[in-house]
Amino acid sequence: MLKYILKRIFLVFFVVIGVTIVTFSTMHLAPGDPAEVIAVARYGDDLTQEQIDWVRVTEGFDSPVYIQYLKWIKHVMHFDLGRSLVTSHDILEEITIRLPATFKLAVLSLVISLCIAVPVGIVSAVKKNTVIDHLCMSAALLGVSTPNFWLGLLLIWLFSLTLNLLPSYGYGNFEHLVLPAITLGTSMAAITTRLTRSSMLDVLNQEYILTAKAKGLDEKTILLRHVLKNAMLPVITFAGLQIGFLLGGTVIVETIFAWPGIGKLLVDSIYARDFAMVQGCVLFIGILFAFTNLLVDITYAFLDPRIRYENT
Amino acid sequence: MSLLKIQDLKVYFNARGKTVKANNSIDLEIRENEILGLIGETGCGKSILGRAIVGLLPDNVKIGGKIVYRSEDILNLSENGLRKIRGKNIGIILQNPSAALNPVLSIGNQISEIYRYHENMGKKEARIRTAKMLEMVGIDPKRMHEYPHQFSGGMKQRVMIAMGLALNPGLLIADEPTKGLDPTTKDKIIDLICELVINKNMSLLLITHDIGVAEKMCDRIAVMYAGEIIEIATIKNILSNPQHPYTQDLLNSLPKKGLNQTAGESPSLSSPPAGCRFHPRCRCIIGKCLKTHPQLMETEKGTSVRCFLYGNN
Repeated sequence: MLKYILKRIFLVFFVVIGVTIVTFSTMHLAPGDPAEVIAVARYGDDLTQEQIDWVRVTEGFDSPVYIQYLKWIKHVMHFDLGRSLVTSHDILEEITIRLPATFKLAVLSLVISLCIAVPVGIVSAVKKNTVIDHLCMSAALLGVSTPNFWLGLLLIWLFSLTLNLLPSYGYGNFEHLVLPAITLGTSMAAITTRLTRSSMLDVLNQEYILTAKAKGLDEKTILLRHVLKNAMLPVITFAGLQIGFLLGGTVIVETIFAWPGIGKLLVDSIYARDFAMVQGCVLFIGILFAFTNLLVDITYAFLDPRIRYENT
Repeated sequence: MSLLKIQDLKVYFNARGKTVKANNSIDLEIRENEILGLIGETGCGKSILGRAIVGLLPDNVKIGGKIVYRSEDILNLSENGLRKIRGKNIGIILQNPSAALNPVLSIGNQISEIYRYHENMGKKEARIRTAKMLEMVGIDPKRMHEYPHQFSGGMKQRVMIAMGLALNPGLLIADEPTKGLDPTTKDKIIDLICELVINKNMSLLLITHDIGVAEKMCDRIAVMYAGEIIEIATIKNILSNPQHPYTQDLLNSLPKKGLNQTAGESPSLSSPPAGCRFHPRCRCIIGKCLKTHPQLMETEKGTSVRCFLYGNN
């Protein structure tokens, strides 16, 4: 078990290195001269070649790319992601200010989605091909095919404008969190419901379920002890991926509800051509993704003995 | 004398608009303390018969007839009643132990849940009983915390046996218990099952296509063909004087008799041949066989056969 976890952590280390290389490359592969972009941000549109060259030298863009990368990595390892080209704020600080908002939204959305998806998926599978199943699956299909922005607007119209129950945008107390979390949660639930159902059906057809029946166990025991643990494995993987996406910021929903999360920061920085900020955000999101996957892998090991006792 | 009596059992499936007659008019008796072998080709309906006895068939099945276990007709039982019989009165060892064990539960858990559920035992007591059971089938009780993937095929089969016998059922049904095992392991598993069944005064229904195994273990043998029983006889009679041409062919297919194959394919269960179901492959065909369906008749003491060549059929 410990060996497995260490192996995973070791792998995450390489993933993170990969992430830094890709992130760094985006800045250099992107069309345009980074020095020029920085100079524009610093001195405005009326530039002289001297100003650009000055930036190139002071920012170190004249040295070979790998030297630049190593320098950048050195800073990153000291938790220094540099400063925003536009606002000159510390990038890491800017991200960490946004983190609580993103985190709250991500966690609540995931909780909502799992609270809907897992029970509905289970009921749907157990009552396969009945009216209940068809209803659940139709609802899920509707959920999958409803775009986030439309559902968000619909919820704003209903709960904010018509019923005047909840604020339509902004960040502050729990009330602000409700609508964006429901928008994200329900749309994610739709996919997870279908996954839970198919995974349940898959397990229900396994021979060991027949063995459990042959022992004379009742349906509830079979479902809780024998089916659920096996059926949840793919659902957990999927939920892990989802939380990765959520923590990376959900651009559309954050924009609709003016939610000050990382997704919104990223989009704003792209519009402002704030390369340094984009680089910082992408790196941060990438690392977050790698670590949520690590967490999923570890959870997996707790649930599945075949992984726990793997001797590699 | 009789522990389980099956009368005129019919098991029909509906598959794509066709009726598959997996079991057709099965009459079979399993006596107390007897090992009855059920042999036949793959797809002849023998596993279906085994599962029908414990009510473990899929939902799209139609069942008719009677399966009487100690004066109780299993087919009339509710799902609740069936659950009380399963495991407790009739144990079943399913095919393919690798797939029949739950990969995420320890084998100790998978055995002890039987005690906890049927006998409302506490955790500790159930664990003690599980340890005893494991010891009985030759597994170190210390391994009870291990998971199925940590056991070899033969060991998994031992776990399955421990599960089947956990509550000392009156009848054990073993569906191909030696399938996929190497010869040495096979012999050990056979010896183990025989020893336990005899020691515990149980009856065993051994479902197999391995005639060698049946020969070694059984008191009587029932031969199935295309959903029907075509011959039932004591092991002595079957070996010395097999009557049905199909039984003769089966015995001639043994390696020591020269691996002679029966010509042709086994028939489809949705549209079986008219008359005797075996007639398209039979060496001894007479005119009657094409049109009339023979009945299972006793031809000598200890042998019944479904063939026009014998008795007054």
